[in-house]
Amino acid sequence: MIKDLILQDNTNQRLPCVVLLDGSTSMDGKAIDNLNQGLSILEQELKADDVASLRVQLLLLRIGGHSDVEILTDWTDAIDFSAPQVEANGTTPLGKGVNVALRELEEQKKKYRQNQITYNRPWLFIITDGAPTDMNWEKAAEKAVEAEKKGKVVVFPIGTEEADFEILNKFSSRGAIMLNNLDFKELFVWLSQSVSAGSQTEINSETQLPAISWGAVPS
Amino acid sequence: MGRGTKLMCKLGSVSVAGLTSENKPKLNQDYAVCKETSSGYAAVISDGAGSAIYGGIGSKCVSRTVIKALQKQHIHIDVDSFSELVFNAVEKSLKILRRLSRLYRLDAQITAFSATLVVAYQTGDKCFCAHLGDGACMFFNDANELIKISLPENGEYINETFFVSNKDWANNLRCFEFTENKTNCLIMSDGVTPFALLNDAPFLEFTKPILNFLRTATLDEATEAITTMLTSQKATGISSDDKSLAWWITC
Repeated sequence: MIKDLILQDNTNQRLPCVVLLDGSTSMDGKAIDNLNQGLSILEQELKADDVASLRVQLLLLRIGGHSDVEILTDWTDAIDFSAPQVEANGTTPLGKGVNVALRELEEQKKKYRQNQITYNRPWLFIITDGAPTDMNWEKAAEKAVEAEKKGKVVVFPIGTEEADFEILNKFSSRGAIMLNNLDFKELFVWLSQSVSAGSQTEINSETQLPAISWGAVPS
Repeated sequence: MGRGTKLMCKLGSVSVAGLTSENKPKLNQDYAVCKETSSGYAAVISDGAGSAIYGGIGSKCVSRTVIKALQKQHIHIDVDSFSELVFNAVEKSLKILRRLSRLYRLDAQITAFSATLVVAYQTGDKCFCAHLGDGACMFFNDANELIKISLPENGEYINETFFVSNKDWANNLRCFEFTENKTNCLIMSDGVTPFALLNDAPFLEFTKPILNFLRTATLDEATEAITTMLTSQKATGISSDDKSLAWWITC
């Protein structure tokens, strides 16, 4: 027994994670209700995880309105995250949303470096039920894939059954996943488990993601 | 104290396996050793990369080759000759690993043996450190105050670091020397740094009790207590990685 010894987790590492949510008119009804329930589950799951609650940092963006990108939740530690209510109205400026997400991630990494905070490779989740309505989405998609290639971010495009997967696939070299039956609850349980695993990734190892029960690769 | 006079030290090392996500012990990929040399003391820790299939073999081979090279040496040494000695020892270990891969038909690239390296060495009144990648090396005085520290160095992301198997590994090898005839040294792998460091400095509520304890404990007591601490629920809760600590304490 070593007298007066204190073991305390002094790491200050973070996993920055952006969730880009489609809040366009087409999400109205069951989809937006399920999405909001899913976000509450994300809050509960992350707060219940001792490590992830301190290491995962979230930024929630909504696309909708008059081609708007709205910050629903600014960068916050998961332990302080409070699930917002997403409204469904307006268009789907997906390209603009992805551009904002990528810019926010780079700025957040800069802040980490300035404050000597170590961090994992950032994650970007894109969740939509349709297709982009903005003009320059293709450039944004190219930018996302390029950022992935350079190791700046890992992108997870996720679409409901109505989404245009030919387009969504262009936002990541990994390809998009189709969410079955608007099962946002299971999606966000998986998302919280994934970021929890990601926040504990060890040196020179890749994150082992949990199996997907909420969706499949679209045919 | 003259350069040729050797102080008495207590020295030791402990390395324990981390846990898998199912809370089962992993194969320990760390290797830790602390030895007396002809003119002083040397401690080496190497951490085999979790993703490298033979990381544990790599860490063992590198550590043993480096410590052997240091044991043969060296009262009259400066930081350049020290860094050359470490460089040559690591290159030798890489040759051994390549030969081993051929001999046992492992069909493994050298990256399959990826490992980091922390080396501390005291000879006479000179102290040296060589460091590649993560882990840490700390030298303290008798009042447990920090004299010198070598901090972890990672890539951009926390889960990326530098290994002896990298093509340009020597470019990332950090070496320093300083003059001090009586030091207490702790070196550790990255499984320990989460609770041994705070804001790029030793976490004193960890290092002070450890140093005080090691000063009075026998080797058996020290080994048992450090092992218990590193395998405790608290320690594994903070980091599930393999954990290694090596030390010398001047008596």
